Amino acid sequence: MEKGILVMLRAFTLIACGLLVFVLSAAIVRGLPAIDAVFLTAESKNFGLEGGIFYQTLGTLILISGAAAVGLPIALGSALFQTEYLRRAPRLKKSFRVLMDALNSAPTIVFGLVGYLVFGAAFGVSWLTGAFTLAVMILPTMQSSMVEAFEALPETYREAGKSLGMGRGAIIRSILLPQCFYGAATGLFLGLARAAGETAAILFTATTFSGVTIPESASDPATTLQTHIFTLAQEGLDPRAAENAWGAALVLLTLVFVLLSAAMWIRSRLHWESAA
Amino acid sequence: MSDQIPAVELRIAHVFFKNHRVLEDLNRQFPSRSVTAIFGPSGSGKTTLLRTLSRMNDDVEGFRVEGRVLIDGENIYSDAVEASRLRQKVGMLFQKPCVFPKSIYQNVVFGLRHRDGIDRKAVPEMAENVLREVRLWDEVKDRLNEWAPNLSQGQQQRLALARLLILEPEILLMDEPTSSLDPRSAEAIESLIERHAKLRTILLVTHNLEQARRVCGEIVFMDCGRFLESPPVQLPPPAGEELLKKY
Repeated sequence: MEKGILVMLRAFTLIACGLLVFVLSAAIVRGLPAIDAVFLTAESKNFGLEGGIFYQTLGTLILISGAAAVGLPIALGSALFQTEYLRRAPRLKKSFRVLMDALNSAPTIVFGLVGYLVFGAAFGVSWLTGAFTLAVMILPTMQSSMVEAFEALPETYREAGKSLGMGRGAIIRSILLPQCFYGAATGLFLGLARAAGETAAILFTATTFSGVTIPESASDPATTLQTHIFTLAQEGLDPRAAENAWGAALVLLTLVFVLLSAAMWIRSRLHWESAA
Repeated sequence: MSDQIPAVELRIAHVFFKNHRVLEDLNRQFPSRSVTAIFGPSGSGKTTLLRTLSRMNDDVEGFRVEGRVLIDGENIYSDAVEASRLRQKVGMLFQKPCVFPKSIYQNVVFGLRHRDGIDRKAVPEMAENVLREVRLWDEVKDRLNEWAPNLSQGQQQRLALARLLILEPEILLMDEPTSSLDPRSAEAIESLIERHAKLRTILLVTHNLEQARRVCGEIVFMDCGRFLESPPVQLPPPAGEELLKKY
């Protein structure tokens, strides 16, 4: 019986790893031939069938940077409020956690719709609307990670600060944030990796599919790698579209991989710090 | 340090965690510029008493105090008293030392960053003085920039005490500060308590009766969240000899 379960678990693990390897290999094998210096640095032409993905990459970076700028202070503030100011109200704290979990599991197209209705009303279809929408979407990821990091800080550190007459603000500034820096940064990078891979939420809030370069104002749309792939995939019969789509997919995967690697590296520093 | 060192007074104080009364009918004055040992079995409420006097339990769910806890005649649980302001006057040393993951020097001066009116040029000398006070200077003077968590537990406790003393608290609450230390560190802390007996109001929680006899002017017994004797047993014995034997 036990042997059968072990065989089954091994098979499931193999399937999961096999699928991942298949997706990555497909992206590398099909995307690599499309990638060269021109592809990375040139503007796309003829609806993406020719040229490169320079402005799409730039647009993706603008959107995730904007999402970080908007989402980070909110995530940090709410995580601090939850861990440091709601200590005598565990029920309220739990309610916050449930709310964030619910937000985290909401379909991303819903974020897009809400972003379009709320932020779109103010800024139109623009990179700013997209950044706000992505910020709301990645908020639970960042916030949960930060809460985890703050709660992992031994209580003795806070009490040592209190015994020195430090107020709550001073303890946050001088003890909590320096000690939990890596935990908070991990949350940020995990959130950014999620934002970098997101398509549905920005599909009708931030992007247009062609003719966009660098946004010159807050109300200008941006073009992104995700939506570029989406457009090219619809032209699947054209081999040039398929090749460029795979090339863009590989660049996007690399970007996400870099962000996740940064998060994992930072997390490894976190464990090292705790052990110290 | 101010000339007026405050006394600590409890007037019919009860301490609760939710509906559970953990300290009851506390009614006693700890005189200014004195060293008092709080003595009693584990779980008798000694640590809770010290934490109540420094408002360390403010963030604990369900913690509340009834009655009056007075420092310098002011009820520290009144709305007018800010906890951090109170703790600038009432320093607490814990049983297990907690040094920050910083250098030895940075640990000593850590609390000064958040105080007004500190002459920055005088800080290195202040740090040296307090390290000498706790007899740590000779051991660390050549490695002040080294990582404080690498010190031995006894050295860490002396460092924590130096970090507290540099802020010149008028009241010092010490929760079994020498319970797990090497003899050298324990002796250094005891010696410091003796030297500061007339400078501060010190409350020392200890399980070590000999230590209490050596360094404290009086001893107070606690059991089941209550003070057992009133007025406090004066040291040296014989007044409380029977109780001393009991514990």
